[in-house]
Amino acid sequence: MSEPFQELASLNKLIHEPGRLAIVTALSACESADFVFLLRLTGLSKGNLSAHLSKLEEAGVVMIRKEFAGKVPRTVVSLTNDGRGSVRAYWEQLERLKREAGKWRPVVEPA
Amino acid sequence: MFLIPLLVDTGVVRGGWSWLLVFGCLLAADILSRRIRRWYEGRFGLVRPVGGKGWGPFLSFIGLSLLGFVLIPGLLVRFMGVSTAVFDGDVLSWPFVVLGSVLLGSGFMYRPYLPFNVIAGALLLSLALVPLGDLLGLAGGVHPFNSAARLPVLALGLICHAFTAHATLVRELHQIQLELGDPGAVGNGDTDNESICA
Repeated sequence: MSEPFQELASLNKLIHEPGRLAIVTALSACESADFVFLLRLTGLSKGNLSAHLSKLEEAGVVMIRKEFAGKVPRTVVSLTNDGRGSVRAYWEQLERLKREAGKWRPVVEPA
Repeated sequence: MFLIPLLVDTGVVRGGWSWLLVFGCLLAADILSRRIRRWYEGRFGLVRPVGGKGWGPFLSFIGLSLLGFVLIPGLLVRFMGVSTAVFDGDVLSWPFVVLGSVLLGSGFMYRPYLPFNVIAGALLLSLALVPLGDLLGLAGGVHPFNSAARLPVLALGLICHAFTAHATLVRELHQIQLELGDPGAVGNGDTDNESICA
């Protein structure tokens, strides 16, 4: 296997998973969003979104905090500085791989 | 709220009652806006835009103001022979013609997220362009947007602006969602872990 394809395996798997990718990409476009907004935006189930957020929080990618709007609790999620850097690095790596894979041509062995 | 200045200015409500009416309406508007906001956030969630995105919004504001209040009137007066009284007089309300155009334009630009802005912009524009003072038989034929109703109509403009700001962000995020596909459709195996959203 040639280099760009080998490098695909080295993508940040924590971010690469579709559900988590949707969450972190959405969060990278805003300062913070609450659980309900992410739920509607990503189309994930409550359980899945919660599990993904827990994983991202454990890895230090997102920060979760509780707020109260009157008496109603609200879960607000935002990217940490490290998380923002990881998302940026992920997209840059993917863009670079896409360019390199586009240039790649199979080497035909002479018969 | 929109009718209060008219009622007060035209003498329908006078003296201390007018202040009581204004205070009561402000209180009602405050309670109502909090309820609407709570309902909206409960239904659609809350998203906060990235703060301080540089000079872009400020320059856009300056640019639109220069275009609407200086360039277009200047060009119309210079090359189309339009009277300067059109922009300064009371027959039509030029500031609200500009505001209505901006609302209408933003509504089209961010469609389908801003139908409210399209409707409000078109309504504002059409009302600002007709001699409403004459039609309503107001004293001196003064266009109401240039007198009593100026503040309420401006408030309407600001509300529409808030819708625009939010909808722009939502549009951006939905674009991301479209590009990523539907992560909810991916079989990740549902979990019962709802601890953080409890």
